[in-house]
Amino acid sequence: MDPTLHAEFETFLARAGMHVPEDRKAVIFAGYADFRAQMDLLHTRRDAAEEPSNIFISKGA
Amino acid sequence: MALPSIAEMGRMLRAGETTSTALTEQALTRIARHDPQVDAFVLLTPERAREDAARADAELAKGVDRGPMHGIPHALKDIYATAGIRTTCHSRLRLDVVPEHDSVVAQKFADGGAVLLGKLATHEFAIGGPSFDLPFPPARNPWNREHIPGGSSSGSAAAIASGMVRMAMGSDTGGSIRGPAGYCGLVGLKPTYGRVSRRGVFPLSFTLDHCGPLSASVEDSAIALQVIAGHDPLDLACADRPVDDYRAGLQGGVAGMRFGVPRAFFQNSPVLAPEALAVLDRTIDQLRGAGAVVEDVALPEYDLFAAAGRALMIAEAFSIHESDLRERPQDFGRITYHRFIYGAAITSSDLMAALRLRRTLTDAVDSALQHYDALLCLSTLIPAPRFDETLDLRPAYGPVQTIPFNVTGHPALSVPVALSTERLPLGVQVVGRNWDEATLLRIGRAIERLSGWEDIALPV
Repeated sequence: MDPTLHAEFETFLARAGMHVPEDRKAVIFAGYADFRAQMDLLHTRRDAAEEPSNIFISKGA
Repeated sequence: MALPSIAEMGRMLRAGETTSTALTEQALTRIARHDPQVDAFVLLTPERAREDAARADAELAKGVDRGPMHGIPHALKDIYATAGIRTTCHSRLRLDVVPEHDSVVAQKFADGGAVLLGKLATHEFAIGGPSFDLPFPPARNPWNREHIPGGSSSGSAAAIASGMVRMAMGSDTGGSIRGPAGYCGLVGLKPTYGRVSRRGVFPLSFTLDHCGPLSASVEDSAIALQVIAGHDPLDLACADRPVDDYRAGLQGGVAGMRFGVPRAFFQNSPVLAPEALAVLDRTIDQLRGAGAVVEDVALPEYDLFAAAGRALMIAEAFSIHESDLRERPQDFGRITYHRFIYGAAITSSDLMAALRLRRTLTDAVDSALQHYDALLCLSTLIPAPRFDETLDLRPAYGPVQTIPFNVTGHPALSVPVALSTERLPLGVQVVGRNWDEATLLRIGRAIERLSGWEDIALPV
């Protein structure tokens, strides 16, 4: 696994207070690259200023 | 002997040709014989079932008719809260949980006089499986016990395909009704998002979760939906929309209907089995022969639907389980933990992108459905794999192409159409317009009839 991605995932886990059990670490870290690539796909198809979908609408509106 | 259809059981009950007690004993006998081979149930409730049946018999004898499930045996996935009955989510973390109240769906079946046989195996928290490191064994596929039944409504599918029950409730967040239905030769209905209350059903992902039935026939699913559909003001996503008569138009056929096939979803998938594609093309030919127009339709790439769905699912699931993931990681099964833990790495930007993309994808499907009565595709790209092919922690829904319609909320139905060369079921998926489950079921009934599936006997 790319060391940068490894460090990134470690940071995310530490910030969330997650301690991955030793016997589960290898497979979970191995899967992170695929997960990150899938999340990156979300950012490829819209312009930054396009309207968000989850605008809050007041009940009285 | 397997139970007859729900409609036939209902007719027999009202004609005095059988009793609910007799049907319940028949189901319990079938369970005693077959459940040790398929592990569909995590908890049997025979005393409750016999009480329900006796009450139904007494009421029907007095002319009290609670509707089409009155006196009919059924079972619930073990994420549906049942008052006084353990509800574990198939997890070590909830082995002692005995709810005080029924989920809305459980209550509706009880109010409708149905007979509760017990609680059914699931993947842990409706996502983590199939797995052998949980407190209960994984359900097995009755068509071949070395193969998975699909998940997460695995016990629901195994119970019906074994003939223990005609209908059981599942839940569908990324395909957990339609996938098992496809792998086990059943009908699986994910209603429109908001059609059925989720209150009292343990959530996997608030904005993707749907409650729905798996059943042995389209008509059975129509009957089940009739009982459970309707507004619940305490489930904020549950819509106040009219509930149709889901059986009235079932036999209407498909003449004059138009179907769009999003072929790019699956055509070039590396996992697509040629015989799965062949049965879809055969179904298309049959629909054309019955007077429908079927043509390919372009939708956004499948990978976009899958990415948005995974981001939303894992973010929402992580928010539910965050404390236990931090404090009790070893109590989760390996697969469950593996799927949830990436929630720690979803950024605010990821989540907003997923929400914005969801709107775009939903609009695209809505636009397609302005031109077509329904979309037609595959629910599973392969027949059910063996257990040893699924234990390597690959993404949960790889060969199951169902999550697009959890992302968009459209109603979708998996219908069995054929057996593979290995005698494992293959099905197709029909996707309808929002709130029009009646048309979806009518199409499903036509496919069921045209395919000849009704002539294929249960595997056991």
